[in-house]
Amino acid sequence: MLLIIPMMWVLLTMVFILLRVAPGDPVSAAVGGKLDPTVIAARRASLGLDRPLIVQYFEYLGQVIRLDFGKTLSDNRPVLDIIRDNGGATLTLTIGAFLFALVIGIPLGLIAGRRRDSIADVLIRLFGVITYAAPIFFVGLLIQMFVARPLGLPTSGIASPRTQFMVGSAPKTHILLFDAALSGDGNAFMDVLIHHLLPCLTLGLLVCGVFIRLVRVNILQTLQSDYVEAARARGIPENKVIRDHAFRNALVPVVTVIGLQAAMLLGGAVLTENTFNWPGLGTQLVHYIEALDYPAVQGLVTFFAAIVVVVSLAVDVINALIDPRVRYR
Amino acid sequence: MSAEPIVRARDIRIWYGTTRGPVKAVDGVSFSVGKAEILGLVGESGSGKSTLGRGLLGLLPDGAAMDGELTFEGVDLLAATPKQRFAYRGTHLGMIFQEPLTRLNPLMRISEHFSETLKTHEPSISKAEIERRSLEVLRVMGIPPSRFSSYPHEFSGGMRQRLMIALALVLRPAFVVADEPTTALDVLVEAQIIKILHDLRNSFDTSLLLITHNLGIIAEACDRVAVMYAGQIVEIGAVDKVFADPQHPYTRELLRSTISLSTTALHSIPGAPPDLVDPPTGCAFHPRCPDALAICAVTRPIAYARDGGAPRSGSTDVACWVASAKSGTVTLTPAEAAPLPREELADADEA
Amino acid sequence: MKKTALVALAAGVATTLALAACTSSGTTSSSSAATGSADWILGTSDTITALDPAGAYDIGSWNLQYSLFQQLVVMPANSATETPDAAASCKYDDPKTLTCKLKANQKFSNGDVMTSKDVLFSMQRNLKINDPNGASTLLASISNGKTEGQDLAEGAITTPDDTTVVFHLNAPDTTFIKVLTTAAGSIVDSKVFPADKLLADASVIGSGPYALAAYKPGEQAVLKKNPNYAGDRMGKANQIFVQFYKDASPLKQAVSAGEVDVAWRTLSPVDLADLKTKGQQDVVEGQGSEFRYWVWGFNSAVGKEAAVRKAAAYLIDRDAIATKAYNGNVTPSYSIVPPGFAGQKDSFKTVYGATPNLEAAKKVLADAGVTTPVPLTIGYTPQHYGPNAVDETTQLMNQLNASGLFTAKMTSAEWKQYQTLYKQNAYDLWMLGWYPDFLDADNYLAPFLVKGGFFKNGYNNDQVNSWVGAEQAETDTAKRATILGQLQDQAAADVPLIPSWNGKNIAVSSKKVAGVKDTLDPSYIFRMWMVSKSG
Repeated sequence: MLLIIPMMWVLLTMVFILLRVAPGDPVSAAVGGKLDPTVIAARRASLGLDRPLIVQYFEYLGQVIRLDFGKTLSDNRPVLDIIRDNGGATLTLTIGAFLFALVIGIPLGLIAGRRRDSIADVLIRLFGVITYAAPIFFVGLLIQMFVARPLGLPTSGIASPRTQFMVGSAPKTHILLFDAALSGDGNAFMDVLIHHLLPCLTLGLLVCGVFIRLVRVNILQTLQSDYVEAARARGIPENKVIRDHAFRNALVPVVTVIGLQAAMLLGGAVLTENTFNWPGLGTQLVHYIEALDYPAVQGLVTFFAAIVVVVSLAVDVINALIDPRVRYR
Repeated sequence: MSAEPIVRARDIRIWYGTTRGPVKAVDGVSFSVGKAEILGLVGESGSGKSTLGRGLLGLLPDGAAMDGELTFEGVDLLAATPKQRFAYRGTHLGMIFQEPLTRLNPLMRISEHFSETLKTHEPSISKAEIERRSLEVLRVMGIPPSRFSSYPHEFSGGMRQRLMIALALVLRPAFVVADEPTTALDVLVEAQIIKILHDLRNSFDTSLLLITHNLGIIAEACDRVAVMYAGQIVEIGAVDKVFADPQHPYTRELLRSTISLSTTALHSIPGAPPDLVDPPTGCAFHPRCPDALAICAVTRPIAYARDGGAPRSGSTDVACWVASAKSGTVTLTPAEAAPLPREELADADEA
Repeated sequence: MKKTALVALAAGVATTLALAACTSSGTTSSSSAATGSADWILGTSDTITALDPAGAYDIGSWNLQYSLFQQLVVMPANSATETPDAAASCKYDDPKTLTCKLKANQKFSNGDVMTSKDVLFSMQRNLKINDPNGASTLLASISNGKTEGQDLAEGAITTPDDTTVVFHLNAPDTTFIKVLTTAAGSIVDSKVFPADKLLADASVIGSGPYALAAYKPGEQAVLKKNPNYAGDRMGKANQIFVQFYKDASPLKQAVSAGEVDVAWRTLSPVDLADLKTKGQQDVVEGQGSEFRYWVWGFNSAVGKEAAVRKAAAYLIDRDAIATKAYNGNVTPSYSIVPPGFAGQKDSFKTVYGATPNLEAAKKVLADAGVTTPVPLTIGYTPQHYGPNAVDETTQLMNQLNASGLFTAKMTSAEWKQYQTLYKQNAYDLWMLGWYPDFLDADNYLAPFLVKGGFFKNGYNNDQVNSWVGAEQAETDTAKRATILGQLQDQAAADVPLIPSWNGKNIAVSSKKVAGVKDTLDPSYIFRMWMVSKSG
């Protein structure tokens, strides 16, 4: 667990270096095409961007330790505000996607494992590979065109403009879905929920491919295991054997994998948010990367990294809860 | 020995399908087991004894086919529906497996294992009754009630085997197959387990098919013994009689290969067990048999009673031309009786 | 068992929550009020840098500021002459002095009364704050000119009384009144805005036709009609939702699904063509002033040869570029200054013709003794100017190569690198784009022609430099138009750059919406107060 500290330090340094190494700087990114080079240089100096890199680096580390993420350069917002205002949207998106992935992936994996090498198995595996490999923005686009429009579902955004205005103007939890529920306005809540459907489905499809293959492989493995054979020898009917022995034990490694998928889920969330114009941290991150806004990108990436670490820890804890062998150690 | 055998097997064949052709794992096996009797089944690795054990319980994998006649308490098991066979397992037929460490579900407590088994066969059983019966059988096995709610990984190998036996016996099956129950355990634990198995017929009136490659265990715990080679039973009979007077050359060689405190030189049977896809013609043992006759390479031996009595009793047989000719049960022509020229066998290629 | 129970429990909680929310009574406020049209929704992919006028220089930010703030004078749609907004009148006393008189009793949306002090305050803070993203360079004529400690020049603005503002410019500058019509000339409430730093976006207070009801950066801005506005550009709708889109793709989906009523900036030519064919929304076009041009590098051996530059000017086929690379969404440009500006003339057409002229190109090269084919490196940037930039460059390259007089090759760099590379003579000829800050021909001449222009291509013509100074000081429109004409002719003769096309100002609107076409003009001011929705 102490490995977190060096891990975070490496990550922060890498982010710093990558940003600085990339050509350009926040000022020319914003106004490069319009202004005289001397003016641009002057502006850059006023932001402290022409100081030696080492100086800027230590200042940055110092700020992180003090949890002072500062303000963005391109539009002067406190970075913590960005996290507070947009984190909720990414949170509900990723959790929803995760639920979709579970609900779709685990049963399909179970079917594929039980009916190994049958047509169903082949089709399910094909489905898992395609959803995993297909680029998210493409899948998202297909869903927008062929699912959203015919069914009359919204193609973008987290809520209709009116709902966004009314619920968003008095945020309590800063998570729009919960605020809509707390506001007592049933229509608003349903509006936000319906807007969640397609983006969560798109992102969930990405991850469900992983779950399908994992559950399938684990089922195949547990079906071969000795305690399954022993259970059959005691006359336990096949359905019960599959459910209580093979399936349950097959799910245990899934929890660990979930922790690993957190990073993939966050990465996929960035693309999903872009496709569906979702007002989450992913959209903000892309925006500030394009503006080469150092404090913003550094702050957001640090936050993402922290989330992944927290999820990994949580997964370890859950693992201990469901697998008695882990506790024993 | 009681009159009507609990299990009677006639001409059992279990073949697997493979890409090279069918593997004849069990190729015409006949035997019987009486009430409260312990029959030992001994043979090398690959002789088909585990397959036979599983086949009796109906636990064969996909791709295996079983044929022959298998009667349990008068009922033809091979003619039963899968549902009926499921009903038999646990209640009338039980199995004790080889590797106790992995035979219990690591996520389930011992109590859950027991309640699952009992509830499957007696759906209306009460929780109190489950506990009473489970604890009773555990007591017999020497497991204290305080460990009833523990998880499998909290037990040692020997204790887990005792748990397995308890689980197999909680429903008092009449016939239990024990497939190499002590192979994975150390010698001291082994002794305890064998004693437990031996006492089963006293406690529960159970008939036992004890599969092993350890002749010592056979001698200690079994009433009768069947020797298997290449999917066939080559000799079967009372333990003391067979060990004292082995009539099949394989049995003889097996006994000579056994290591004991008085062994001074190692003895082994040259060659290796045959490929079961394409076994040798005639008697499967003939390429390695020191007494092979010409007929042995041509015709498969017919099983006759060891003492020259009725053929194929299933209770005490030997299938060997040499033995049958010697006992006068069978007469061979001089051509058939000519000794078979032996090819130089390379040292046994390890499989 | 435990795991499935947990999942079931979670599902149960979620369903009950949803059901509870469904059955609870909910009201969404209706949009109609006593006066005004229905609320409408604008979708755009422009980003907002700041809503504080001192903090932004981009079209997205300026767009909202025009609705939130008043300026002294404004540009009405499709007009080149400014009209009063906060000021009742604004006139040059002489080329260095501009006097404006405020209308009486104007109030900000919070009730504060506007005085001339607010005007001075707004200009001064813009210069003092000197924000890196701001447009204080537009106020050069009243600036003290310092890089450290920029501020109003001494006495640049005087306020003799509460309703009079007098500008004393550093040098004669007849374009300054146009600068006052830009968002950089917005008037802010001096009681609310700090003098030395930017105000948070959500707190801005102005006196324009709309006030900011809510603002979520990157997501949504909600504008509500300002009850205190008493000017000429009264808003039609009571409430406007502005939704921000990161990408063109979801914006297109949204407008064609009816989730937004108007989409303005920026949909790709392919998207627009698709929407036109489907016909369920109106694709509205107005004249634009976006300018795409090719700059010659005078520091390169190829670029400094006048004959080469002229030959290329003879060979460029603007129609082909407009149709093939842009689906006809742009109009060929024959001058540095786009059509619709006072004093504009198509000088390049006069000198080089409207269509490619191979013979003339050959002749000018032969006369100068230049060996052909001439090797040429063309630079462009693949994303900043849209995805069709590469098609346009390919077209130009093929046109030059097909003549046999050039062996051109094209090379690209990402925008941030590109800006450095073209100043380092990496290319002989490179692509740039331009939006005007204010609608005056000078905004296309001074930044391009004087001392190498902002892009530092090495071109310097003293005659041109003095003409630029002259037109900036000239108050007589006819005389000024002559000077502007001379400048454009000289540009065609010297060819420091080759004009390529002018973009149109295009929006997509639902059929229930009116007023969009009226506001699409070269100024790129989207006059939201003119738009209304029925039903």
